[in-house]
Amino acid sequence: MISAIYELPMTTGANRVVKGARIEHVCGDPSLGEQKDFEYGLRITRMALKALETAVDKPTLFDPADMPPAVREVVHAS
Amino acid sequence: MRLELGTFPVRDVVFGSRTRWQDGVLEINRDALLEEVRKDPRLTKAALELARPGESTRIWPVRDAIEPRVKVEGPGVVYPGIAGRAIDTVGQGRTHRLAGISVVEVSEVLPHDAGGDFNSIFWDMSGPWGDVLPVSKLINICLVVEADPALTVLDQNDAVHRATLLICDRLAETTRGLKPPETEVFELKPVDPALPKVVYIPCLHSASAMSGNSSSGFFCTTATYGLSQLTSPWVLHPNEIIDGAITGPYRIASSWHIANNPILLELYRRHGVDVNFVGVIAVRTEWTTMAEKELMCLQTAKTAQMLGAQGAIVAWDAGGNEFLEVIHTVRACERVGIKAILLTSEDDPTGGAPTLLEPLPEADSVVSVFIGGSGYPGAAQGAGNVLPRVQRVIGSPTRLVGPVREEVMEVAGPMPPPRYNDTYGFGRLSGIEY
Repeated sequence: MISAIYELPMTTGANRVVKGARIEHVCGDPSLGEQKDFEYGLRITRMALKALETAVDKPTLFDPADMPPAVREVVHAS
Repeated sequence: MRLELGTFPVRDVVFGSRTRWQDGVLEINRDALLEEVRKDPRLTKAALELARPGESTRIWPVRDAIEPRVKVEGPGVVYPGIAGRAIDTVGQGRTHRLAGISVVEVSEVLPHDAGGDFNSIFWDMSGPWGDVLPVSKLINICLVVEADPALTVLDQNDAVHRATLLICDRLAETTRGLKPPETEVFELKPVDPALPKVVYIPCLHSASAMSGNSSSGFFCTTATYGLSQLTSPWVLHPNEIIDGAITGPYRIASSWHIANNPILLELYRRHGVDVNFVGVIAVRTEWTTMAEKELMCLQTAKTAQMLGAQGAIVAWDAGGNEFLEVIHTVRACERVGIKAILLTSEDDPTGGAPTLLEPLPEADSVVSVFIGGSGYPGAAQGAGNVLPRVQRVIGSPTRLVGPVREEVMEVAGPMPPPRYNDTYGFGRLSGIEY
């Protein structure tokens, strides 16, 4: 679960909790501008995918800040 | 800070040829008052009606209710800051109040334009819902008022709330120069240092993060000196609250409820008797990150410590994620050695979630004020949990209900009660577990 108020899902027993940005925009921050908002959102989403790949035995918190920044893939026309 | 509060009891309200208070009877020149209200070209409707205790009357939608008060000596104006009023610090000198009545703002205008916050409050003057409400024991002077829907929601709010305050001011003004039948002096004098120092911590909801209206001074939710946005905790002298420094409304908490807050008044009356009332810290809730929420709670506990508090009463006005600030304030106080008591309503223990959102071992003393009603029209209602039909409606004859407000409900008809959280402690409800 991605949540801005992550303590709540942690204490109510969600297995994997990813720190979101804010209640009003959980997966990004429009005040950062389009490019940085996208990067932030991507980082949160990648952390969520990594969390799904991680075995847990109790409610576990995943912080997108621990995720290395993604290199935006360039699509090559070939 | 010394405040004399002069009370003018009102046992009857009549419409007549002049506006005056005499021997407990408030006479109102309705036409003259309404003529003054209608000078605001933003208004499309303004009418005054009376609702008396015991009548089969329903008032819908109730946006706010205000007790007429007036500052007759000392700085500032009552209900400061809101709708353009002066912001001078209040709480000193002499204030007069008309007791036993309220001026009710009856209007369809929404509190803000962010969506989600629909008008949901109605009052019954009798029956099971009237029994629950402390305000059904008042003579309610209802201003049915609407503003031009072409205006912004902010402007509509300003227009209808100014109109309500104008009526309040004109009524309270009738007591200027008269000797109050009852006077109570409010002053936090130095007391026996051995008495336990207690702080009152009301948590006040702010819709500003959701409404996007954070830079505007006023929109019609709970305001401190007119500011409704998210701000860091406010240290207030209780006299300021008696003078209306915190105004409603948010859902059930109207300006009348806040100015007549029984917890605050009881703490005051026991100051020097068995407690040392050191003041009020008003905490804004509905911050939108965990860090912001936690910061407010830690700062509140720190401020309480600086006031020397040994005990705290923590109360609130709106649940949901806002409740995190409430319970974390309890936790933060306990962790710095301040005994914190949570005053709260209760939810049905359905769905398996903890009643307090999070397990909170620090909340080792909780006062339950139960809940009234069970939600909203359209929600599953118990067969007995529908209010009976009433003979008369003040305000709008219909209301929109349902998830996207697509159904029309007759207001006079059988109606499920709105949720009522008595977190000010008026104490007309109790719960029985069985």
